[in-house]
Amino acid sequence: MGRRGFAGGWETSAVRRLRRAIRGSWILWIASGFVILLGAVAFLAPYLRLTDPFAQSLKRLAPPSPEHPFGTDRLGRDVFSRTVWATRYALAVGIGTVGVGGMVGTLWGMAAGFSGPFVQEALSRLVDVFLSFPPLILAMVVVTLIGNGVFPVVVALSFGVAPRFARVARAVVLAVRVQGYVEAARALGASSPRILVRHILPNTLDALIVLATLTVPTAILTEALLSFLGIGIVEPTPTWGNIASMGQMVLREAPWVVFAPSLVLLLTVLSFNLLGDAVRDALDPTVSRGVWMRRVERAELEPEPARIASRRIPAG
Amino acid sequence: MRIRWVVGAVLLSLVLAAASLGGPAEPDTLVIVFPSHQGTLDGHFAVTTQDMLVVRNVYNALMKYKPDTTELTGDLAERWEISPDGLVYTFRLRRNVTWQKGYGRLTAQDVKASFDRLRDPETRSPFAGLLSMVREIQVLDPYTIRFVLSEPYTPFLHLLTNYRVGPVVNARAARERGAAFAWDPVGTGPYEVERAIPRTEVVLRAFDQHFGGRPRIRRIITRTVPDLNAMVVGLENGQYHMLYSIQALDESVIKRLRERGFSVTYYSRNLPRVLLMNVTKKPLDDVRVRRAIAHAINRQQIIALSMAGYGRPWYSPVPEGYFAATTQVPRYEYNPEKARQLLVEAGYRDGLDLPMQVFDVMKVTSDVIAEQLRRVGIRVQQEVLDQPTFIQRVLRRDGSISFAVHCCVRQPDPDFYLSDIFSRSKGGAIYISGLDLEPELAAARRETNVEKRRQMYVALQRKIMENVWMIPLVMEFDRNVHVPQLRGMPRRVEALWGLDLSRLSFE
Amino acid sequence: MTRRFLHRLAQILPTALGALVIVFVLLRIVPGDPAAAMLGVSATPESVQALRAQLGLDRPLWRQFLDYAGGLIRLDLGTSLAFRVPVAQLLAQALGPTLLLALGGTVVSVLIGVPTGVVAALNRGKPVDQLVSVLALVGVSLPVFVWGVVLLVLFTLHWRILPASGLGEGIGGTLKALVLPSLATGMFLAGLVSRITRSSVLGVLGQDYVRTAWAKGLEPMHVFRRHVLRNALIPVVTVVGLNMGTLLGGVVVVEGIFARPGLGRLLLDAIYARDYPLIQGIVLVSVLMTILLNQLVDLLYTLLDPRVTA
Repeated sequence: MGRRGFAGGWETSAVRRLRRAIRGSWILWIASGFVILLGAVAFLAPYLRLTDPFAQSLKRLAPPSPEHPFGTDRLGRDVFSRTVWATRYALAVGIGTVGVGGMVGTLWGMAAGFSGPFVQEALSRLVDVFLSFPPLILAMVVVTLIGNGVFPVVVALSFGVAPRFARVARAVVLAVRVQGYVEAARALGASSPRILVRHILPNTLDALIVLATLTVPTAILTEALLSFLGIGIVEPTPTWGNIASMGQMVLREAPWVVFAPSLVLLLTVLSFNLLGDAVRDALDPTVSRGVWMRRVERAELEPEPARIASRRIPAG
Repeated sequence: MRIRWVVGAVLLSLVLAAASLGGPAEPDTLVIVFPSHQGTLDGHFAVTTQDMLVVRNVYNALMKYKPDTTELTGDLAERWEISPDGLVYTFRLRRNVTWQKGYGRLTAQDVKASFDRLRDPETRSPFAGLLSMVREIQVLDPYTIRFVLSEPYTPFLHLLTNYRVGPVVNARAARERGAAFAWDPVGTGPYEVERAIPRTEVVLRAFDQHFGGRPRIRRIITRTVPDLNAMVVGLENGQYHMLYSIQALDESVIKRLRERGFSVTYYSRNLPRVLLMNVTKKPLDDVRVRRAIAHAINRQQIIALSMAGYGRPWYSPVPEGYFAATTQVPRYEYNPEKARQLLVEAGYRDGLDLPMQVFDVMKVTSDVIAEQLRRVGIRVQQEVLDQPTFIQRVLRRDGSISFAVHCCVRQPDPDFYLSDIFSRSKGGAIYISGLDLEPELAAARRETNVEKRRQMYVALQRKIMENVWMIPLVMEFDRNVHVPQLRGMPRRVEALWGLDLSRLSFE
Repeated sequence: MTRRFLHRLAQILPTALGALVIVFVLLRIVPGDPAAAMLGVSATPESVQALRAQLGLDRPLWRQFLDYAGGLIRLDLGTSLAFRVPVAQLLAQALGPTLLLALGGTVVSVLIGVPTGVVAALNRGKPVDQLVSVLALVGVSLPVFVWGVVLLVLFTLHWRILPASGLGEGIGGTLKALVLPSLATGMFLAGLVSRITRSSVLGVLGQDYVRTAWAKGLEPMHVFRRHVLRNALIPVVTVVGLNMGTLLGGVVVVEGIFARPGLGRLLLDAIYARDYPLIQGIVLVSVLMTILLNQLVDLLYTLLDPRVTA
């Protein structure tokens, strides 16, 4: 059931495994359902009959009631409505970051993998440089440079995400390059783009998909920290982070302002993490992937894969 | 050498981390906390309210305001005379003033040296330009000093209060200490700086030779605690005694603290909150649009939502408490219907898109106003900047700051404030309007007859409000929460920044 | 040994330098002006110009960088624009609390993560395992500020047993003041460590040499400690090293909540004030910390795994 060199085979087997996994576990079932629900809510938010998330009133810090399911905040705004609207920004940042950072990182890593030693070294050093910045601090500085808003935040977080994708992409390309069949294909006269598309790309995708699904929750969490600090997506635009931030001071008087968005944030990140785990297990190397995937996982986990002879690190 | 220094500092910081930086306060010590940090304690550079809290008490100036009023009286000056043409100011100094830290007695020469240091291009004090009208400073005898102006400047005495150009610093000490003077200053005030750790705390010790008498509280520590929660908890735990100038504290928290027995003192600092706008560019160049905005504003809601109730609606350009403040100006009351009507008249039937620039301190107020404007069809696009960017853009004068909520405290004379807003040549960090009212302002500046001067400002204010060249919003009260044993806080008004710490005592 | 050290240094330097150049250049093209920041609302065009000149901001960019780089060699990081004291002094002041907290967070994560992971692995499939997995997942998914705020209120107000803010006095006081912030900071990593430990222990338990050892009749506990744990901990060390950056991010937030004057607070102030030298200094320090921590992780490998040549 391996797919070395065959671009068509892996999808069906992996997806089948994924579906089986979800159907088998009720937790995963709920998690996927929640993620789908979030997506729907984010998309449909303007059409749901919600209270205006920006409407202020003198009913400050009102406790939860039928009229205000999550109560009101310090400016008398409906916390439930704001929490729902915040979903859009959370998902936008989560997916946008993976999209932008993932694409840039993959291209970067593949370029490194394909290049001669000098360029490869330079690009890899660049990866190291960016990886040495603590992600939140890097994001804070970048957002300060570019300004506030969704797009700047996506860019800022991508700075931290791209190098990780680059690393994985590079390792995969390197690993695959030494596989026999690539040489064979070349010997048979296959051109570089053809090798790229038919052999390298499918192998890379697995690792990158795993990384991508696990990066979404990280991006959402980091954005929450940023907006909690008042950086990035700022008031009055609602994000779970900044709703909680405003409620911090009145935690004892009105705990719902902090806990409602935090709970939703928790459930979101939790669901994505669970799904990410399932995806990783579905694409798990020890089942059918083979040696090269192991090397990729090692590359992901270790700073210098070449140095360590033959260690098997269990997936997990 | 540097390496050793850095290593030593790292070790020291680890030791400090284990040492007492947050211990319980002794009964003879007052611990004041605030959320932002201090930038400098050098009187010729201090700008923030936290700086001023200390600067106020480390230095004296020639003039000061009588406590709880905006009435001028002498500080270092015992008597003063102004020549009839308003060009010569002669001050007779007190004879019993001693410098802190062993720098001897204060003489007129010292005072001149302080002003010379301020105006010296080498010092590069940002306030040097404020004394441009002073042609010459003469020392007539060891206790008499004379200022000769190049043109009459009626608010001159206000300039000589303990704010910006006023503080009398020890120029010799400044020279000797160089950059260190910012954290180890020498003045003549009731408290001297015992120790200062930038960004963390300043420890003040009572200066017993102060000419005003021995301060009652022996030690005062001002400390920066950036988190409001931690500040409140510290107050409740007994770590801190006063939360100073806490505008951001939520009403419900204040209520709770009051119920637990803490005192909430509030007083006026003549601090206005206003809407400033560029009236020379679309869409704000149309007076109907400006009037519409004025009618859309609900001041009570602003006070309730963004100021925890500590404010008073205000409708005039000159802040309440200033000389020539008046209520005899056209008022635009909250009337959303009228606002919408005016917009239609101005041609904005489908509403209007209006960019607004916000700097962080004004965020909550801006949010409230933006929502109020949205209700009448004005869609506000907020651009949130932090203060450095905001000010830089104002100073660039490129029109990129066109509509913003602003504040600012000055000495209680209308010239400083109005010139900053409406004079092209003298305008500063709040010159957003694009107008130049310098002719009227210059005339009022020079007028020596008090009543005539007042009339000039009243007329000017009427003109400003007829044209809605700015929209005054509220007068804000300074808010402090402290332990009930603390006495001596201002009751009505604190004319300048900071507090007079020498008036405080523990019961 | 020295050669190895120099070799490491050669690896670190270009990375650090690259980071520094990037930060330096980017900060110069930023909107906002430190002089305007320092003068606040009392700024006028002339005074801002004067202050810029005084702070040396009107010199050409390359000139400023050369001066800065030159200073670095002397370990002179310049003077803070906002606070007018040497940047190195502010960093040294702030470094202690932050390092303590980073250390505390790491210790918490290991103390909580490793035992729970082991317990889960040894009870695979049973309810305990599931419980631990859920808790670990929650730990990883819950944002650090929620932990921080909840711990703050619970332990300082409801049960007044721990200080709410500051650094504490004396050894005991400092430790007491470290407990809650470390718990908040370390939760995320604890969850990760728990999961990795679990799968790693499971992986090692299935290895031939372990079974051989058992078959040989060696004492299970002995086997466990010598073989299983040691090898299982290797990926744990990796994970901890890899997530130092995230931990430092958490430290930034926690320092705010518990009012600890560390690098996090300093960075926020520096950004607000456009204090270029200070921002550079902080980024440099955090980059160096991350790099050094990674090197430490590598070193730990050599201790834990005899097959790895340093």
